[in-house]
Amino acid sequence: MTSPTKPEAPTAQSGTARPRTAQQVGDEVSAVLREIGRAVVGKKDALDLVMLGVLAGGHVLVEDLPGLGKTLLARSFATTLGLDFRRIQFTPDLLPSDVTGASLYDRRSGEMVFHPGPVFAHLLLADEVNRTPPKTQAALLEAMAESQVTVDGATRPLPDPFMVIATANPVEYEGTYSLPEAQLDRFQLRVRMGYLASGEELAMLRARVDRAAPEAVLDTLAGPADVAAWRAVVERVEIDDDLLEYAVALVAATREHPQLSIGASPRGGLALVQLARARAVSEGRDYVIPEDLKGLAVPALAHRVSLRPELWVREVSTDDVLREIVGQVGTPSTRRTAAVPS
Amino acid sequence: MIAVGVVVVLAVTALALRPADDLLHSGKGPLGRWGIVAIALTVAWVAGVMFATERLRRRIRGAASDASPRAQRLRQAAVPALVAGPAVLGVLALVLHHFTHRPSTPSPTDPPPQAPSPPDIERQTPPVGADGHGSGLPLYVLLGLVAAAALVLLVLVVVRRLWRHGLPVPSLPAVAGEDEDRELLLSAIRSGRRALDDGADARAAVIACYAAMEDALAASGVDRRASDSPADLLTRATRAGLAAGPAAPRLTTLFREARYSSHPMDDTQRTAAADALEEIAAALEEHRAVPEAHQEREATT
Repeated sequence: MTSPTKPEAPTAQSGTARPRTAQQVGDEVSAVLREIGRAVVGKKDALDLVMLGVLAGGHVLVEDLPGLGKTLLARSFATTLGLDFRRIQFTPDLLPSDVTGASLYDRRSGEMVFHPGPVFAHLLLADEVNRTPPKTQAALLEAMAESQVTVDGATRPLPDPFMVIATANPVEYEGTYSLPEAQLDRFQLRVRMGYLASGEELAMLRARVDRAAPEAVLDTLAGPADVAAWRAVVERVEIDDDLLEYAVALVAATREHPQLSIGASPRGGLALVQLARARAVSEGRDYVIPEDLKGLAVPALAHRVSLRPELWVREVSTDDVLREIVGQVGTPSTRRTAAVPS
Repeated sequence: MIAVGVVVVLAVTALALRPADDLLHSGKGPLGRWGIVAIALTVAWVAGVMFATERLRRRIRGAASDASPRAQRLRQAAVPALVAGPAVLGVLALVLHHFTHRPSTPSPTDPPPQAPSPPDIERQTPPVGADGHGSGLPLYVLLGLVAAAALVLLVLVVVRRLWRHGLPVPSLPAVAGEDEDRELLLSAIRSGRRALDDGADARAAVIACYAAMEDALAASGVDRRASDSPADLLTRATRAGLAAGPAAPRLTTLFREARYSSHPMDDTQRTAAADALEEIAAALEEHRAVPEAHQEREATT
């Protein structure tokens, strides 16, 4: 783990980080989560999931009501991880060039000069992404999928690491543009914040009164190079063939479930496996266990499936269906059935 | 397929029990005026099925842990259907029973009978036994026996198929009740010890110890479901008071590493797994002994 560093310029790198073991990364991740937990009170599960998104190199959709700390969560991650942070408040009149940047005429040089948009950051908070028209959404989602933007025929890579935390309000329909399934599929996982328990809410209020400041000041415990090194460790995590079969069975079950009209895509299976590997590292392991896949099936797959229309009025959620599927699909047997890893 | 088979048999039975005039018409049940006898038989039937189910439940579930997921799904579908089938049959007999006998004279609110038209002559002529009093009973009993025979035949076919596909079929209990469970528990522990002694490699030995723990827990009433992860099983065992000590979590951690990683395993892990299994066995024996001693004290007082 690096000493506290200033967030660097979006296109700059913080050098190379030393190689680590899964156990070391697990310890560092725990320290980062503890630090963020000072600012974001009582949201351990949500913080864990966002951290898995960071480790797995994916983008996170935070879907919940206003005022639950979505923006605070994103900003806290950016500060603690030492990542360059930008925020876009999505509005109905936002243009794609407001996200990606645009070329403007420079009178001194007499040339068109590209001015990078807020997407050129390590960590981008796309606040209320469902408030902007599909054209602007598509500009962001293309950048998410390819880690690059093309403006005026020139392709420009985005910083590494690049991560989007998008928020969406699931209950307001007036003046919103729901993300279509194909674009939801670009998010590696969906996180729900939920209300605080009474005791946690009391602790949050007490902490606010005691610190005499709107937000806790967090220390920076890592940098972009550390995040890249963590991701390299995730890539070395092994997963047994039986567990891959289990992941496939979970994804296949979403395609055959009678309450779902559209099941999870192969990209969903990839996301599930990658998140499971990230979870293994966050717990200091270099191998995946069934609990990793089982615990992540809902956040990794529920936003990629569509309910049958007749179930909308019954207020059945895709989370409920995914939980049912997880409760039905058999985990690998106790004794090995696949080939022994060499 | 099994569930469909049971449903078909139930449907045949229902048709056999169907009143001659109308399937949904109450008071035309096949059991005539023996209402109390019918109720008693139904209650006894259902109680018998429940008793038999309770006896077989642990054995059936305990034998399922090593089957493939597909086989376990088949088992999950088949076992409830086979158990529920006979119970539903008893309830069905009660539902279709003729409890009240309506007077043959029409009530004042009934419309006056119409003069029969010529095509209704056949309906006017009551068939033999259509009054449901005695003469129709042998036919229904005969049909019921045929349905029961078909059900038995179906069960035999299903059992043979399960056997052929490698699924263990629960055998008749050699000893009853607690002795049977104790024997299962000891058998599970013995199989773990055998795996440790037979020179298998450390990885296989650790996995065998964990499998022995699973079997021992199943014998103690906490069986592994098909969708259970090791953590799920551990949680349920802890809730049931069967994994209170640190041994079960320790063995579970060892198992995860042995089963899902390619880490080299040596005698250290093998010994740790053996120790954990012994601790778990002792704890389960103690857990079993406490209520028995309590029962003995109550019996003496």
